[in-house]
Amino acid sequence: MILSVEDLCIDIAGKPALRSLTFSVAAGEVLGVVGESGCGKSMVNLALMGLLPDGVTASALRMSACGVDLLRAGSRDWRALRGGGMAMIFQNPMSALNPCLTVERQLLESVRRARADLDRSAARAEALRLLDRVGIAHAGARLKSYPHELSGGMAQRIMIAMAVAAGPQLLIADEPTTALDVTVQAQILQLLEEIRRDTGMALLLVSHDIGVIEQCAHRVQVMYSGQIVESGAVDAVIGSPRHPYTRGLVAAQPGRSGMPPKSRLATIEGSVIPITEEVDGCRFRPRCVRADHRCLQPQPMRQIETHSQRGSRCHW
Amino acid sequence: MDIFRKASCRRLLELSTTLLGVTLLAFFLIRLAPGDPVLLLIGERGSDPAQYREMAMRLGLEKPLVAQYLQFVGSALQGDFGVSVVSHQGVIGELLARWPATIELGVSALLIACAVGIPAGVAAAVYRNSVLDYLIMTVSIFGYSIPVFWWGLVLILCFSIGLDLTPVAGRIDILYDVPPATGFMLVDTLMPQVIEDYGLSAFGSALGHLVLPALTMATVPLAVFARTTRSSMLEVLSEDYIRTARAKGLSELRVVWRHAFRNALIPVVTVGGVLFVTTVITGAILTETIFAWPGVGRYIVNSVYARDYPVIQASILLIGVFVILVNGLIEYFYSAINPAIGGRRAG
Amino acid sequence: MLADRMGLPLPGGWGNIGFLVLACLLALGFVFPLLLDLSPYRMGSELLQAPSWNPLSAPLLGTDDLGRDMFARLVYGARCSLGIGFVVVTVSLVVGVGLGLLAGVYGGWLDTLIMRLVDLLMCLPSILLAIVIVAVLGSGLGNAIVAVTIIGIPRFVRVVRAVAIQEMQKTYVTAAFASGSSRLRVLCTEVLPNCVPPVIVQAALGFSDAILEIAALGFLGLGAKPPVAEWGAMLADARPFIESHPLLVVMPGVCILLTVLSFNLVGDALRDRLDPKMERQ
Ligand SMILES: Nc1ncnc2c1ncn2[C@@H]1O[C@H](COP(=O)(O)OP(=O)(O)OP(=O)(O)O)[C@@H](O)[C@H]1O
Ligand SMILES: [Mg+2]
Repeated sequence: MILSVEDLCIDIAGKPALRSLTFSVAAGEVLGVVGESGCGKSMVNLALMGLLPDGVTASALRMSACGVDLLRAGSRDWRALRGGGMAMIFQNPMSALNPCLTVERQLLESVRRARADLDRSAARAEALRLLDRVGIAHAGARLKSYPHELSGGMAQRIMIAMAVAAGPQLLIADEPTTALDVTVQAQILQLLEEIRRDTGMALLLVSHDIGVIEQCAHRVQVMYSGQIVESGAVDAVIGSPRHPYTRGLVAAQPGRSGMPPKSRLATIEGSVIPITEEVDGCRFRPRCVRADHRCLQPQPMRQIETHSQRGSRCHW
Repeated sequence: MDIFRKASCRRLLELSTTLLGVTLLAFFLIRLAPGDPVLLLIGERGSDPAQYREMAMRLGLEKPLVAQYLQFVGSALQGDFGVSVVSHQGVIGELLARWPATIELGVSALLIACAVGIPAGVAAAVYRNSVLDYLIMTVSIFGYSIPVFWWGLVLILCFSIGLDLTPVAGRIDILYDVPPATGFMLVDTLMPQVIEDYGLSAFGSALGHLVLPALTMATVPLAVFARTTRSSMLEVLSEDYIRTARAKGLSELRVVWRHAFRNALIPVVTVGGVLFVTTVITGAILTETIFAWPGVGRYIVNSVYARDYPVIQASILLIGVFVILVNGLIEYFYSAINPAIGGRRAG
Repeated sequence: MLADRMGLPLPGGWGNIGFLVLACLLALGFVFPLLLDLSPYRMGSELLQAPSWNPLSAPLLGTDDLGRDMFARLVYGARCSLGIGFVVVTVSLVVGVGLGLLAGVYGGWLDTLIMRLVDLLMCLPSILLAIVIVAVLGSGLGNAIVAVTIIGIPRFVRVVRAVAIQEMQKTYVTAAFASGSSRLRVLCTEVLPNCVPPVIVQAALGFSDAILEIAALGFLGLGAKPPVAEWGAMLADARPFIESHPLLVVMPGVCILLTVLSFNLVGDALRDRLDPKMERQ
């Protein structure tokens, strides 16, 4: 396992926000994470990178990545890990690049960080190769640009180039395509898939679009209001969702569940409980169509089929 | 880029209207002051009729205002601001002779303020809500509120009278006879000839005389630098690209200085430009008075006491031009330091 | 907490301490003279007396070079500074808000004219401008007040104009125009209320600047003239005695610092509370 997390809890300002997350990613695997905006996906990613903002704290029974025990990692270990085995790309590529530094300086920083042995020109050549790898034309000219001169897609490609510079074993992609328009989205996902296949790195792909996950991921876990509510192989989870929230998500996909085109899309009524709010029983209960008295009890993760790591936080 | 150029053209136009305003202010100054402008300009006592007639001609009071104004601007452009009532010397020469002393003091003060204030602000931001942060911010709000003229006296009280470490007034000990080469005492005392005569002791004396006034003048800008740097650093440190830099595994030192500091500097530069002007002029007026520093500030104050209107007129004009030039330069620097700003302003 | 319940508009945080100090100064300046027999001008027989811990037998803070009671002079100085500050801020607030509204709401050449004037005022450092104005009008406390008032105007014009322009672009204002409201009406109902928070903040900061400038002019001998108990002028008077009686120099300065500091604390706290986005220029 490249990444394995057991019972990860994250508190925001002392209040529990994310509750007992357990998951793992194997080498070369793509784990998809779906969930509504605000359910805490980014928080988990930041916790994995040790980049939680002030006032947000994480605790876990076990958390290790690339063979490093993250619970015991000091700031030096974290830095070694971030510039080495793990890398992350962010939701909004335009704000994730430093507006005052050229692409060259930012990219070289990553290259140098990964390979201290390279001299200036070799590092530059490596940077050009990386830009070429992520499909940027006129790489030489692009190195001289400032981020505000780039399009969103191009900026995200450069983020990817910086992230893979060190040849990470795990890439965390936090909604890499949300801020981009649809045609570019497909290209970026394609690129990530290619790089994954070439390098054999594992990918933790976060999205709130279940279509994207279906297309790219091997396994998926569905998050709702700070919890993992369902997990399993992509085909199984999307083909026969067990948790009512997953069902809702799948049904809300255009052109699915055998609906004729142009028919009304299914929606999930109501809105998410803020993740820091304490609730008795199932957190989805207020929005669930099938809720009954049993839902007043806390719902543990239930194994569905023993052999396939499928689980759901619903008694149905 | 073209739109950007248009934007800076507009700004240039704005700056030149302000310049126009400054000339108008200087022009109307003597015409608004109570009394006969001619008498104001030649001084009331001991004016003989010939001198009176000459000045009246020069002002062209019988001509329409526009013509008078053009004549005023015309002679100002040629560097002719008339003659001081007190010294009967050309005003421009008197002002320029005092300018280096003021600049020397102002620049030293600003350097002290930058060197202490900016790192303090960065430290306060990086260790926010720590004891260090509270300490720096408390000191800086005191520094910001301090009456400069009192602070100078308190420093004299402590360091000159109490500890007897520094001299109280002037630029250099009267023992030394330093020929004015550049007007900057620190430079002049390092001239080969001076070193031959006195060794480095003249330089030491000049430095000793500079310390207290420079510290006095530095206090307010130091506090402003610390506050501005802190808030701007805090803002930048919460930006996405700082998270990216951390995600790359860069050291905290590198994240703070390379990724955050440069970007946080932009508002600091703007504030610094404004401060430079206020420090040099405002600080000069009060500090030079306290420390008997022979600069422009003290000269202006003395001219007001003596009702030396030609000097006041020229000072406003020159200082106005100086301020506008500095502002223009700052704005140029501002767009040069952050490429994105130029682009964004254009868009 | 308590203040909130009592409906006191306290600024919060360190601002409360500033508020408290200001309240004390107000009491000192305006209530003490009514209760005690204090005169800032009466000359006693004991010159340059040291402070005494027994206020019944000797003046609390000693006497100055003319034998006047320092405590009384400082108290009257508080009255002078706060009173002048109030006049200056009120007048420049009224003028500044008016001009700012004109510029922001009507726009066009009026806006250009007003803003160029503001630029002109802001371009010259305030002390220099004050000195120049005093040079034209002649020195004296009255003229110093006029000068400081003029210098105080731009800060209000700028914030009010910014708010007005922002408000004028909002849809509901456009809608109000569309439904036939006059500019004046929109101005009173939509724009003016939104100006209140930034104007309050600027008023607090304006107070501190005004007090500092009046004291500076007094110190330079261009504002309040000697017998008047004004902190800046007192400081200038005491300068010759700096070596022998340093307290005479220290005390008025501490008073100025304390007052200015309190106004700045209140202004900062109010800004954080009323409008976190607003930057001090
Ligand atoms: N710095 C922070 N301090 C405190 N709370 C925060 C902070 N950042 C985010 N939150 C809260 O944490 C919750 C989860 O945020 P997170 O960004 O992880 O959501 P997300 O699932 O990534 O949503 P999105 O799809 O919009 O990116 C949000 O409800 C938000 O209010
Ligand atoms: Mg997110």
